Amino acid sequence: MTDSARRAVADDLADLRGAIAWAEDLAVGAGISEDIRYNMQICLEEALANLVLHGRKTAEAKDIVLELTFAPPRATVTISDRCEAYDILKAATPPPPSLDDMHEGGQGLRLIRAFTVLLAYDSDDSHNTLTMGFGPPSVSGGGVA
Amino acid sequence: MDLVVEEMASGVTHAALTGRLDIEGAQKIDIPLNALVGVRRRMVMDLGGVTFMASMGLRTLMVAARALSANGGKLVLANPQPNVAKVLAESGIGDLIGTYPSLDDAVAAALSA
Repeated sequence: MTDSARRAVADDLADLRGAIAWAEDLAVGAGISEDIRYNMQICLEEALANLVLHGRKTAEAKDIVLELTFAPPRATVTISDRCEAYDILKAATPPPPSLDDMHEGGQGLRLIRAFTVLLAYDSDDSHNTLTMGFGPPSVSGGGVA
Repeated sequence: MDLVVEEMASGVTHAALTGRLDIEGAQKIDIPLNALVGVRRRMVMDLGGVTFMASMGLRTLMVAARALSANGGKLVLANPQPNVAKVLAESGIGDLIGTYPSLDDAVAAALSA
């Protein structure tokens, strides 16, 4: 059985915990395992924070919308927005962290790549869409799309 | 996110974090933690009570480790829950700072610097 739900996300860091808690509650109800839910929470925080902190809107508002689809044991998260496109699949891999390097940037990208089994990005004139799949690799059939 | 600090008999500072080390949690402890690492040398960050960690939490740990290192001190991490350990491992920051499953091992590592 597949369930799905949608929620708008405010362009405000204060809404992140609420959005992630909403996704967590639905994932628990859908029977998604704790490990997969944790991966989903991490990637939601990274992707949404990136839009709120760094996204440059191309319309009156960023119009961030979160959509969840559950087909246990898998979960799929789709985030759409109206910001300048940032194709996570084409972004350069950040250098390894160093105690001497003052730049910590890129860890979010590293975590998203590590904790998804499917990653896709699409952009047209009005919206960008990031799709992140979570699940056991053995049943995902996933990877970078 | 709560931070509780205790001076151990060994001279190591035990800093215990509890809660979610997400953006909101990191923002809450950044200032008190920065003040703490400015006046301490050897510190164990006990992550046993941390239920969630993402990149802003990693950044908080890196800033603290860097500040202590610059002053000739050392930060080590102790006792992370499995999902937090997974984030530390995937990012490479757990190995870079030094992560130990027990508090005793972490204290020994902090004293060895």
